[in-house]
Amino acid sequence: MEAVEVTGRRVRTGAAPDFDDFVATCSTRLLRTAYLLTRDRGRAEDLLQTALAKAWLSWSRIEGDPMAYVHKTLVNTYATWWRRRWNDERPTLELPDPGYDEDRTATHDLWAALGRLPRGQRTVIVLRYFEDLSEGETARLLGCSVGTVKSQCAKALSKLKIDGALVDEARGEVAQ
Amino acid sequence: MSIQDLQDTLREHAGAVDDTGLIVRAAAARRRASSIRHRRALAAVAAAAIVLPIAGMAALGVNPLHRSAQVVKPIDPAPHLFVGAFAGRTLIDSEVVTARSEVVLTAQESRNTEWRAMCRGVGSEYTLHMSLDDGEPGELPCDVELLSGRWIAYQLGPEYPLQRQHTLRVWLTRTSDGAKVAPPQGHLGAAVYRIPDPVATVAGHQVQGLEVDRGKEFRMTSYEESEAGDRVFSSTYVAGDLPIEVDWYTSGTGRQNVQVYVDGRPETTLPLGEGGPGLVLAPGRQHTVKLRVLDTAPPDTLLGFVWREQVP
Repeated sequence: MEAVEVTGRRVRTGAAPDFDDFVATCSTRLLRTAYLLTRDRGRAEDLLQTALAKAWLSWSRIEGDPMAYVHKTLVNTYATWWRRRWNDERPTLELPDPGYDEDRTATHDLWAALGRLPRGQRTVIVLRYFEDLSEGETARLLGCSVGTVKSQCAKALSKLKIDGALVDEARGEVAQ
Repeated sequence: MSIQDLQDTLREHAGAVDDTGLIVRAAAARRRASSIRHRRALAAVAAAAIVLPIAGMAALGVNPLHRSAQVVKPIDPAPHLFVGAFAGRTLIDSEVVTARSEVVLTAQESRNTEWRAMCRGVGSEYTLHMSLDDGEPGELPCDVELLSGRWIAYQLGPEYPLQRQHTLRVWLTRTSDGAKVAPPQGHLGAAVYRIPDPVATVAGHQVQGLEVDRGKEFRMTSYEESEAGDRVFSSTYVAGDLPIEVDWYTSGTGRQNVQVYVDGRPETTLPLGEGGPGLVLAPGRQHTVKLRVLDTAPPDTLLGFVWREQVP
């Protein structure tokens, strides 16, 4: 077959590290983030592998540190693919036993309360208070405005019954 | 409770996660990537087969998506649905049936193959379906007939093993009620072709150097690809003395649709993740095409164009 001359335009400023090295050094942290989002070890691994697979398809095009890219893909995948996956949840007449124990600690209550947060609010809480991202970094990662991050965070903290003064502080940020 | 309590809770539960899958994770991700690429290839070619006839009918001044549009009747139905070679492809095997609702083709071929389904002369009231290895089916309505017949195809790229058995199932249904039926006339066929290595990957889709539209070969001359996360991407090309073809490709993790504009006019929409051969455009003038994601673009969105020139 006659050779085909092809010209292309792609802008790259740096090469991504080896995929295996990246997975070896960074994926445990990502797995923990995925676990805080999904609250299930198996689903967390599934979510992480999906994000890594998508990153692998674009690996040669990722500029510099791929952590931000994979992180963004993971959160975005959680927000979209997960929504479809959970569409087949069925209602039931009998609620499962919550295993309520009056002696459980406040920390346990907080973990349970985190599980009741809407997906978007939980994502903001994990990114802000586990990943220690700023409001601006969180907004860039989620592809939304800083104001949205602030309002989602304030609502989530209110539901979690976090210290009233801190909630007021978060609300104050929104007003600003 | 305080913010510190919240952070402690998050760290405690995250820290309790025992990462037992680290050693095999990279390999597992690659396997999953291969599956995603396969699905994208299926979607891309399925979309291409739908878009190509639109391109052809646009050139004839007929809108095939409009139900009252003129239907071009098939000409001289013949059993020779699959030519031996075209656009770098070489026929490996084929099966053609008449007055039957289904045809099945099995072959020990995998890497760089294209699996084609085609109907010809069956009439406009049917829908053509195909499925490779019982995977995601593709379909194409038979309500507008091109001179070259109706076809749809799956491509398996160079990442597949050289030889592995695949089975292509092709069938017809009556569009009005979805019933699987044997048409009284015309032909239904399945074929597998050897195809060259792709010359580029554009927005996650492997692209062939040559494509055919209405019997004319078009050779890829350039491609352009957006930055990840771009919502809008456009490209301009100046056609010479012969017609040119533009193909559009998209990828991303969302469920958004993408609007295609050609020379300022909305042309069609496609789901994010799909793409394929698009339109044949007039010679002797400049053409501009644009893709716009309808809604927020996911961060891994890629948009791309391939430009081809007709081979003299």
